Amino acid sequence: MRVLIVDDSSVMRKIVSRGLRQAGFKIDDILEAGDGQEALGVLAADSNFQLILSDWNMPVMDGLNFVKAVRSGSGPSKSIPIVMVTTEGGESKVQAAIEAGANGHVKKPFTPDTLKATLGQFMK
Amino acid sequence: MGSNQGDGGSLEKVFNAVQVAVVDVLSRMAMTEVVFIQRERMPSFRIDQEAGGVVRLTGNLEGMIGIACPMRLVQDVVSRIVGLPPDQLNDEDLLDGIAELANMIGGWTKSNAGLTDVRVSTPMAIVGKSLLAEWKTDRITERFVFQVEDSVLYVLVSL
Amino acid sequence: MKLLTIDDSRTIRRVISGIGAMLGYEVLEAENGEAGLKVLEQFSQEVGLVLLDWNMPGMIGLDVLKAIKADSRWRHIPVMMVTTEGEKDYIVKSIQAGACHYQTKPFTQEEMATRIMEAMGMGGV
Repeated sequence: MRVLIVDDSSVMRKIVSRGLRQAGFKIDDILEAGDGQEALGVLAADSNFQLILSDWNMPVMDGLNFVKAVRSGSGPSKSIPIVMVTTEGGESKVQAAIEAGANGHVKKPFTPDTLKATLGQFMK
Repeated sequence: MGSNQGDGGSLEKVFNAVQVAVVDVLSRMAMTEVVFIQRERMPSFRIDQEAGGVVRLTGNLEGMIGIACPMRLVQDVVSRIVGLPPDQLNDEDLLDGIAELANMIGGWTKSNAGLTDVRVSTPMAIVGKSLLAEWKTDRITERFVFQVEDSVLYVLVSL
Repeated sequence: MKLLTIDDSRTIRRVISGIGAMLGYEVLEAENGEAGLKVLEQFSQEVGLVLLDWNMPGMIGLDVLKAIKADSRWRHIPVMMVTTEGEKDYIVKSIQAGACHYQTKPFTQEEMATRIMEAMGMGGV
């Protein structure tokens, strides 16, 4: 399967990638984008992803607007599951993201086990 | 302080290690590109920029390693290290920042040069306009000049 | 889960706090060993990792490490030494005294983030 990670921190993108692999998911390819706008660019060229993991606070286009943009699109990427990566205290934001069409959320700090538990349903 | 044992070659190893340490510390902690410009012999160990940080080496090898640069460079580098905009940094932050840079450059030099039984002191830092600090010493003082962003960073080594 | 950084340099404490926050941890700060042990008294149940400087005025890192490991209330908390001293000698002394991780300064954000994640149960690549 293929995953798109959207986060403005290159370090965080690497940590998330590593966590996914350590959780034991069979991942063929992980692509990265530094903000929502860049991620839309990736999706316009390539919509073959089974999961998108998105940060919340990002410059240019944040996580919530990214979810809205994907869901209001018309191409095949419209229905890719999107999971938000949030920190403690972000519950109200999660609700807003779910209402905008996100499919779930992973709370930081995460471990391979918590990734497995929260993402397992999308990683089939 | 006693005089340093060993030939010029072993001191040269330390001078080289300092250069590597400066580049490593700034590139790793602050993601800043550092370009070595030149090296020159100085009559004394003198901090004559707006900001300076010094550590002393004691033990098998004795001497001092110091950095000196304009305030603007300290602001820029500390801002990159801690991830805060320069205007949110106060004098305390800059003082601590330059001290920590001197500390890391000293410690990294010790590791790079494989200096055993040498202690790197806790750092001393000075910040202020038109300051001048000088240690008169009969040791060799070499000054390494680096270009960092659009500022100049001086690194002094007295061994 | 919280992290505790004990370092006399506020620059380093801020760097560690920033990296910890990015990973989703609340980071407690102490500027010397004595203050660090006081923080542990208050938060021993919540601190999941102590990041400890080696070279500090007052109580040096090794003494703080020994004090942590000597107290049954918090000896279970893993300790990472954060230091410019990269020699074997220091590493061996730290491990003998009970440190389980070691990170030399200078470090990149990625190195420190990876080391914290490893210490918190996420293995290396």
